Amino acid sequence: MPQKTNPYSDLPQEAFWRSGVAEAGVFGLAGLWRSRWSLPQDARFSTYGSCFAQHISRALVERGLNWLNAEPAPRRTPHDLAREYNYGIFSARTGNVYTAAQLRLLLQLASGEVAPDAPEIWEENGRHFDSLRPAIEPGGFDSAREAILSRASMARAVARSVGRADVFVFTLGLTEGWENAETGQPYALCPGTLAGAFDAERHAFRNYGFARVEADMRAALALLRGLNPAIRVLLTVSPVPLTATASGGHVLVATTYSKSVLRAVAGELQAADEGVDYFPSYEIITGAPTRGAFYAPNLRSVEPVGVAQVMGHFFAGLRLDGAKAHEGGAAGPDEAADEAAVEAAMAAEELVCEEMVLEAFNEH
Amino acid sequence: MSIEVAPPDAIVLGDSHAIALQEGCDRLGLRTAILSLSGNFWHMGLVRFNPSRGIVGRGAAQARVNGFKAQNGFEKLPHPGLPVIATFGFHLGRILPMFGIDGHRTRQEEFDADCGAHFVSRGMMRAYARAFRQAHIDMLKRLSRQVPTLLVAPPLMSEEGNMVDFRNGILAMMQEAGIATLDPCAEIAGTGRALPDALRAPDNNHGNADYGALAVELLCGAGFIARPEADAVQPARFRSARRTT
Repeated sequence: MPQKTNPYSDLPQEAFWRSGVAEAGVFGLAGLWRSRWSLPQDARFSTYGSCFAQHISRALVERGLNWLNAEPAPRRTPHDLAREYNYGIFSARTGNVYTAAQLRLLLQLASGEVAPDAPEIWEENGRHFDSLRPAIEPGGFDSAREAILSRASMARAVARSVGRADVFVFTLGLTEGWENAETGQPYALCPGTLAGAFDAERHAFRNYGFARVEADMRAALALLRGLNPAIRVLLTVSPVPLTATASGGHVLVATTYSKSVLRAVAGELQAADEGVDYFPSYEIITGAPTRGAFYAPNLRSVEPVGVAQVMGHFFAGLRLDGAKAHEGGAAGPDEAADEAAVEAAMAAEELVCEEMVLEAFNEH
Repeated sequence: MSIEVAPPDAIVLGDSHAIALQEGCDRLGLRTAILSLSGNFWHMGLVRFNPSRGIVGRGAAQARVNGFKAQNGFEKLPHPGLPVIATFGFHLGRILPMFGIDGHRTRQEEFDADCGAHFVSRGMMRAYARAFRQAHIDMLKRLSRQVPTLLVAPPLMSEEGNMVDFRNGILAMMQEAGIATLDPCAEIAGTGRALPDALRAPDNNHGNADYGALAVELLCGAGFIARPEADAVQPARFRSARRTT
């Protein structure tokens, strides 16, 4: 009997579950993602988002790609100290950006649409906390003025990182969040958890639905393009489940809802906008082939082997086959040359000091 | 024949800023033994404090420390009963250029003036300074337990925000650690103000002998060390406890 011809008859093997997933197995999955853009071989990336986005920053650096660090720690800062103060985790010191509402506000700050002193600063026992980044400084800031200056510095850095990037990578994390009930200002965390004081009258829980997340993301895209008309946006969804839900439901169900909304918005934006792409880190970690094996025993944290798997697919699908686009190719200043010049200047000064020391022995 | 040389009144211990203090001591007729080591030695951790041996040098600093002790007939440094005028633990020339190379600023006006600058909080500035200078603060604490020790802050040579804030921040950390301190530059020029030109050495990085004399006057005025008698003959620089001819 001749084979019937239909739309499925010529599809590649990855289009079928049996050959694409079941027989391939978790480590045999292939063709999960291919970047829709041909990028310059020296493409610059800025990365933001929820905690899973940190893995993307780190992997780009490890691969020697041009990851933009627009708000670096002062040179020679010991590694642990830089981490403690949240330097080098994202392209600016934003802390985790979990929701689309947070991203929108962040970009409003970066573009000057919202003044740095507009979002709340929380005071607690004489210390001051940025309501957008309550954990950015261990123990908070000395003063509200200092917290605002630090926020302004971060906003500048976000603008720089967008302006200089070819690709803005954003990992969507949550739909659940907290806002100021009057002003609508989103918070990074529920007031009263890490910092601040919870006030049921002022602080309102939101579980952003598809329409609100999509609206915030479209506004964010417009703000990004205001800063850099040529920027491409690569979306991912964090596979890390909710730690807790305030929705009133079970956290497992709430997680599925949250991730489903985020995944659907990302898909919608990708389909409608050629400047947006979606990378399936969520599917790689949570998909049936893994049987949850990439999660740590707490069934929440992603094990390094899972992260490696995600990044393997990321680099396999990344198309850095375009001509170089940046002079010198470096993402930031030529650090080695800068340091050598400063070292030389310090050495020259040191010689003068040494000579002074020797002169002290001159009795003539 | 041997010539008895009077023992020193104090030891001056520090980096290149020690020289002005020693010159000031000379001017006032105070006898001092000076160990002045490059700021880089201190910064690199080549000068340490050993609980039983006192100040010890490592690597390139070892010969200098041992030479000083031998020259002055000291078994160890500090020498029992001899107060120490200390001026180390800052060495801002070794940390500020790298701290500021990418535009990190501790002052609002300097951050506002440069759109490429990064604002650094006081907490981060102090943590950064502590990462490089805690060992020196610990050394000063240990010295202070053994002999009277006064930390003399180096003069401010610039009013640039990072310079002022790091210097004053480190000085505050020393004070919080219980170390006796003196800030002659603040007494002379005002808090946060740079040393006047007339008191600068030609290299513009250090105080001169006039500054040193003013600093030592303040040190005597604070009662750290007794002012010499007015008719005291200014001795030649103290070099060894006993010289044989």
